[in-house]
Amino acid sequence: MSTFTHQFRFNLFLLWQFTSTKIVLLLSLIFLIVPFFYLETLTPGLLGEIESSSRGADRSIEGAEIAQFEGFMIFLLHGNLSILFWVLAIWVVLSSSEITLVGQPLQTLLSRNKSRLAHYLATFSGLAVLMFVISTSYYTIPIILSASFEVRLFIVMAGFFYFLTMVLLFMAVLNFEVTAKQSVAFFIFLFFVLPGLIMVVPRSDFNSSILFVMLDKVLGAIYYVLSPHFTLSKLIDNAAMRQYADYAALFKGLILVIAYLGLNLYQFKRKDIG
Amino acid sequence: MIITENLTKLYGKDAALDSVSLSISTGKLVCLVGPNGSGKSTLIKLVLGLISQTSGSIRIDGFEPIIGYMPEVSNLSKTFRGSDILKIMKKGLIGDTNGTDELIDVMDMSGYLGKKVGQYSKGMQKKLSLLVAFCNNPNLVILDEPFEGIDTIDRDRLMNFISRFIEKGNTVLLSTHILHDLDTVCTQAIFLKKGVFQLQFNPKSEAEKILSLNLNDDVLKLFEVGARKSELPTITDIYRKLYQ
Repeated sequence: MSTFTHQFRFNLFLLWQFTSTKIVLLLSLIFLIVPFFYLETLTPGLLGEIESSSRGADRSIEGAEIAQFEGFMIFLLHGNLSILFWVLAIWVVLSSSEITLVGQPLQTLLSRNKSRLAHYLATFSGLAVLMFVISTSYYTIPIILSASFEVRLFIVMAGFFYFLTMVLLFMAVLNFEVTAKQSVAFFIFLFFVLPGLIMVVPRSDFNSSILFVMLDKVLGAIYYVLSPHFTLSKLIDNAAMRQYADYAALFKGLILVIAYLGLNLYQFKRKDIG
Repeated sequence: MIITENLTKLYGKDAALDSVSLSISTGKLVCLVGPNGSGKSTLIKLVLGLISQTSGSIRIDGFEPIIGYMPEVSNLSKTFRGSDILKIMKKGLIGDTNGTDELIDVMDMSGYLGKKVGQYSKGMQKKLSLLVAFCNNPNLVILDEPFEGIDTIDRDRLMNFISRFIEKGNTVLLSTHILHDLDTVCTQAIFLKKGVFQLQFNPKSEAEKILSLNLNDDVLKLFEVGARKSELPTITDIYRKLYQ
């Protein structure tokens, strides 16, 4: 069995040992099951209607509007619990870090297995599985209410990226001291230079004052990219409300995941685990 | 054999280890001896690959190490029971899952494994940390200050356990500044001072009680080697002479 496979299985086993994981998964299960009953009570036949519409049957405009409105209301209520979810998810990460990212267990594992890369990727994969379960259950209602497979898939993917980026960012902050200077440079590049270049260069209007346009665009870009996680969340809201899956926008989430993953890996490779 | 060549580790401008070249034999109990700040823990972490050297090299020749490690501070999760920690470690480490049963009895830990680590005394945490180090049958166990916080009876028990572990052909590398009874079990003592290798001493070998690696004339005179071979120094004698 490769180091990665062994570590991955171990990390799933390890995550299951934490009470916080069990609480999160129990909450996830509740979030997954309750909406079915709740929605049936509110709008009898709604699920069936959505189901039939997703099979390509004619869809009532009125029914769709009701579904979207009710769905949005439930979604808003649902969203109030996001803080609880985040606290628990980060609690899980912090707890599992005691074994997988610090202390004697990690030191022993790394001394024995040697590969830091395999260890980190296995840790990441274990967390990714957990984040997938959490995000899918957290967005159960918009997923159920969506009329098409494309929108559902989009919400699942965007939700996964949303939760994953938060956890990866949390881990990057946790290990900030390892790569303090590089991390600052990384965040400046990711949040200021890169979006600035992306937004300013192609959109510059040469008929206006170039400085003004640049300043305006840079400020806009900074504002825009300083809240990438919020942006991801907004994408999901839009998808749920407007039934529009903006797959191209998912690249933003993917780039963010890759960037954070790269930073985490870099930190973990350089880390003195003494 | 673990061989280091000109091993140097700098923290900023300070050298925690300065050009240390030595060889650590396998199938023995090797003791790293020196006061606080002499570079023992740094050398151990370098051997384990937990930190990277500034310059120099480390290589392990002649055997495939299966490592067990007990750090000076274990940082074991206080929310887990002792038995949970062992279960997790056995699952996490590739290899035979035996190795701790005998030590659980030796250290008299069986009655405490059901309790949470947060309820353990410092000595109990140390003993649990030892159990983790011996999980899944290692053949090279590295212990950083294993005697600190452990009472005399448990220290004797541990020494006996280590002696039996060595007899099976395994290797133990431990760092300590508690020298009591080391002469009877230690087969190779390596002395460090402020990150610099001082000398290597084989207390169990009558034929070569002192290996003259880096042993300069002053140290030789200190112990009057040759003149009074029957009264060659103990590890404690050397420690006192070197570090006073």
